[in-house]
Amino acid sequence: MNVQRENKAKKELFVTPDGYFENFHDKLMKSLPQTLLHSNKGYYFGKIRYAAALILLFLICGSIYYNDINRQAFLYSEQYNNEYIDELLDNYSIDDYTLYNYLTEANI
Amino acid sequence: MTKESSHTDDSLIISRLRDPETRVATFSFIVKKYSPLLYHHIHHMVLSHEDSDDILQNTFIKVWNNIDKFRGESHISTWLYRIATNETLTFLSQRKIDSVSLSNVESTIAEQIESDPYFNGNHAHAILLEAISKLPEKQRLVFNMKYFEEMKYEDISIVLGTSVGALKASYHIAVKKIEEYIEKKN
Repeated sequence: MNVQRENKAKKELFVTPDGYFENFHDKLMKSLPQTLLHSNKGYYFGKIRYAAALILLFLICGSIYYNDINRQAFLYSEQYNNEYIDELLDNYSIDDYTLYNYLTEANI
Repeated sequence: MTKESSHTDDSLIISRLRDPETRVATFSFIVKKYSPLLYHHIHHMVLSHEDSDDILQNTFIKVWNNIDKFRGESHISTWLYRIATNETLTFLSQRKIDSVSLSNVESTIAEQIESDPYFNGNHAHAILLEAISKLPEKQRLVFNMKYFEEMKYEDISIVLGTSVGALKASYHIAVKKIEEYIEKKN
């Protein structure tokens, strides 16, 4: 038997009871859950949810960026201070030899 | 109907579904338009009017409850087919769990079909349906959608999320299995 060719003439092998689809429609429309019947709530709730998620994401990214900038500024200022102090110590500190000469010349 | 006009129709239907003033009337239109197609799609899988009726009702209730989630990225018909298919597969897997002696029931499928008051075919058709019922679910779906519902592979591919190549192979294997089953029966 060649399935491709045979039985093609009669595709709908089952019938439905008389008036089935009309009755089905009426029965279904009466049994619809009332949640969406007259409200737009679901649609707008969906939009609000997306907007809230975007705002939250923006706040998180902003907070991470702000913290990073502050941390860099702190590290920079810390580094500057250390360098500055080292330089001061190098230029202005008096070693033992200089101190001896100074005291000898002063005849103290 | 061209693809462009179909998209326009879908956009119009979606916007009316979202408007509380026109929602019920639009949903009623969808039920009237798609019930027969979906009923036969389900019936080819479950082979029982009562079960098809239950699944069809569950399908439309699910559609109603998920109207807001439909973004219009696919055709409404595709979306409906997907929901109906999922509901049918869920029902079939549940029936497998519930039915302890399924093998005994399957062996008499042709007789059961012929005794169905809504069956409109002959003995050869009953044997054909019995052969189809022996296929794995996915192959059965592909075969029914191609053979009985005359859908294009491209459309079946969107509904089932399977490539066209895989569908063609699946249909080819299904036809071979059905032919072998019928040969054996004869």
